[in-house]
Amino acid sequence: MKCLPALALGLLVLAACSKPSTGAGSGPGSAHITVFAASSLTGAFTEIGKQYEASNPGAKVDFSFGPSDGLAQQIDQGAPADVFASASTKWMNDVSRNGPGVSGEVTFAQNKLVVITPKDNPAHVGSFEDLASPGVQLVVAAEGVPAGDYAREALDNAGIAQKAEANIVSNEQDDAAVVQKVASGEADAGVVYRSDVSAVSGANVKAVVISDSVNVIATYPIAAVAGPDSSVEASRFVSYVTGPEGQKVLDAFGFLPAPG
Amino acid sequence: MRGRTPAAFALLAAAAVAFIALPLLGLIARAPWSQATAVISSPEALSALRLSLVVSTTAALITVTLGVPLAWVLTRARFPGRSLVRALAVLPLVLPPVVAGVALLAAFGRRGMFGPLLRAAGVQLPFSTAGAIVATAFVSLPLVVLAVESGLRSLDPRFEQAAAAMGASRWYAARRITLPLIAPQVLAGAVLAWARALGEFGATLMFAGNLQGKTQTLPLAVFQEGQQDPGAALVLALVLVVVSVAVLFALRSRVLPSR
Amino acid sequence: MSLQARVRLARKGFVLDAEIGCDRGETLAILGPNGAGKSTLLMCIAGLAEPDEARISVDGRLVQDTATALHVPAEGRGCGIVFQGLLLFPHMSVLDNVAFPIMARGLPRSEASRKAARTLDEIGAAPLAGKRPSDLSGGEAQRAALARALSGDPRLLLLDEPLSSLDARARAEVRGLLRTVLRSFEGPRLLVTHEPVEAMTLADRIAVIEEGVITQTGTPAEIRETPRTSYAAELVGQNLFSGRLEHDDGGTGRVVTDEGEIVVAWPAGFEAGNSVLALLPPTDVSIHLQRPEGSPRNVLEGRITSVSAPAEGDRARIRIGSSPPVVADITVGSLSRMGLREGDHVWASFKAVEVGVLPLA
Repeated sequence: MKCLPALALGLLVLAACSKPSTGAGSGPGSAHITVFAASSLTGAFTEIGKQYEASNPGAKVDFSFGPSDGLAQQIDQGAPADVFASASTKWMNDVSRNGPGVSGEVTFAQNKLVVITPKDNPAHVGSFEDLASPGVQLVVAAEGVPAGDYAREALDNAGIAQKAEANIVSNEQDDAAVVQKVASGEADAGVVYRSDVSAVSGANVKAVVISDSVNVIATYPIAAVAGPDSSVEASRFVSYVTGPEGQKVLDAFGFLPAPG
Repeated sequence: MRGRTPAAFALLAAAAVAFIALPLLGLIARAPWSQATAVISSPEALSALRLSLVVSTTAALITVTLGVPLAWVLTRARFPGRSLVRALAVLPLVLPPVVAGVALLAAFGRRGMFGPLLRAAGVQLPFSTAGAIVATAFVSLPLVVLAVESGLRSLDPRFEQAAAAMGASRWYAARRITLPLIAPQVLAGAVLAWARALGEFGATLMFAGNLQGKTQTLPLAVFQEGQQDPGAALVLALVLVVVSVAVLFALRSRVLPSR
Repeated sequence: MSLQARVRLARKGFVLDAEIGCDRGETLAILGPNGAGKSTLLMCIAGLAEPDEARISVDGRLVQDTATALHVPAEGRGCGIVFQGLLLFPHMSVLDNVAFPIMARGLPRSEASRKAARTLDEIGAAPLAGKRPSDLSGGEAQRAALARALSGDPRLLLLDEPLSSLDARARAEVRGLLRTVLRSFEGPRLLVTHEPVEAMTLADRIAVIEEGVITQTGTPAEIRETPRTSYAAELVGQNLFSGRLEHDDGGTGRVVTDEGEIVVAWPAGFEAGNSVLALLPPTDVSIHLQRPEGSPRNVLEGRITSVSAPAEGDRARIRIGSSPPVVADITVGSLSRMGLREGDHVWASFKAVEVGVLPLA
């Protein structure tokens, strides 16, 4: 059929030009929002999204999960996010300063770090300090990723930064990738969030507690991303997350409550 | 007589050129040239570049060493299950790289099928440069096989017959007649494999991990930089482009012959 | 017999079933039309084709016997081959090509190059050593291929249509060279061709092959005298006279055969006393009922010994028992116009320049 290539081309162009169903371009008053959230929030926010849609008929929430630094870059370059929930204030500030700006920023949760090992703990890691033992194959998130920055901060607090960092065999793009490397048994140990090993998500790994004296508190801010079509729905979602329903879910997933 | 090109083809060809050229032009236009020297001379960038060259070149050598005999056997030998082997040889080409990485882990990871064997031999592939080489060689082997196959098929088999009649053993005829005559195709395959290895990301990340100096090749460095400093990422991306173009240019007459 | 070969090979629609033998110091031509199986036979002897049944021995050594599953591979048979299409290795110089068979047997490059240079020199092709096959003319390439076939000290020489790809002039040059080379090669030599002239001028014996079967074996003279098949007769119907070249008056020449003389234009480069083969296309022979006047230098008379007018086509062949006997090819129209029949007394005429002269011996 001679017209087949033309037909295919036409369909492609049509698909490409279809209106984005989400994001700031949906127009004010649209009940369809896109939330960019840190990887560590995957489980909790998916659940929150379901509950939110259930209690707000007509609302639709789409999520994009990833490392907070990567998400911030995307928003800065114009990605259609209505809400941004970051695992550190650093990247919220980045969007605020270098990106479209934010409104209604509020801290909605906190997190602590924990060491994880494969179920059979091949390197016999029993404490945070054991990460400095020679030969331990340690995996953490890359520098710049909140989980990676926090991990390095904690190692520094414990005075084992140099030795432990010599044990790092891979810098992963987010905490979820670290969990995956440890759970599969490839790495001996990893440093991730406490929420990553909660009852709901961390079945394949063993957790080793990091004492509060050296541990780092991760601060999670959330805000509506400013834009020409700022969505009322975005603010409503942010309120839901900081409200009792959202907080209950976050608690169930192992997050610490926001201060105050 | 000059070739008569239909107008539609000329238009589509122009669109094709634009399709390839525009992203490259975008790279050049948006790259922060003022930062360029600082980025390129940073230890991370230099380390990634060195690692990329080492990994790609080693992978190319491995794929040629394995790919030429495989292509030979696939085109010349007759054995049961030959079509299956051929499908296998081409499989890494169509496998998503991340899937390739997962598969490599399943075979050669610490908990993989051959993990204990490798460990007993003192070899660890994940988190090592060797692992990066294995991952890139895995995905680029089909390119060598396909190129050499086409070379062997287009070779007049009577030359090898003539060599045999003159007393040449199979190995002598292969060494002095067949291989020299298919050298252009072998080189083309090697260059393609090298280029593919240079750009490999998913399989390397999954199987070998991401560590500066050991496994963070240029594509991984670009990705990591992209999460934090898009400007630096653009510069590194351009380095990759320049290196690839330089090699293609240097071997242009061999790899992309034109009349 | 230094070469004994019995080969049977059946492929789709074609069966080769032939037996030949060739002595040391003898050149046997396998002569047949295209598709008769002659190249296949040669390839089987060389070990490059797989026959269904075969028994082949070279120099008294059995190299293949399907009855006992004995099969010496091609590289072990010691054959020197000139292939149709030559197959000179394009990526090597002529010297390296010629040195190849020597090096393949294990000799180091320096020694092989020296030997190869010597072989090239012996056949007068020394200047070609550094050239690439793509730079060679047809005749030069043939010499290179010949040198390569000889350099490995083969036990048996096999040539597949050695002259067919050459133009007339190169053909004459190379034919002379071939004759010399063949004569000086001690072992048996097998020559495959579809050109009767090649066979007649180069071979000691000819095996005529048609549709996969040898229909006649004999010396060129024997085949000329008593062709057993119509194909062989066609070959003979070429008017080939072998004899001695002598001067005639007026700058022309005479070929003196056992059966008579014919006048020819003096061929360049020949000397009186040379043994030659004279070729006369039957279509150049004119038939007359009376002695003709005019220019043709050759006028022979005799009785018609046979008339063959095929059912199809409009040409007829007349054999005349003149001295020497000639064959004429005329239209059926002329045949009936002149009312020619066996036994009629006629004159045959042809011009001196219409006779081609080739060296023999």
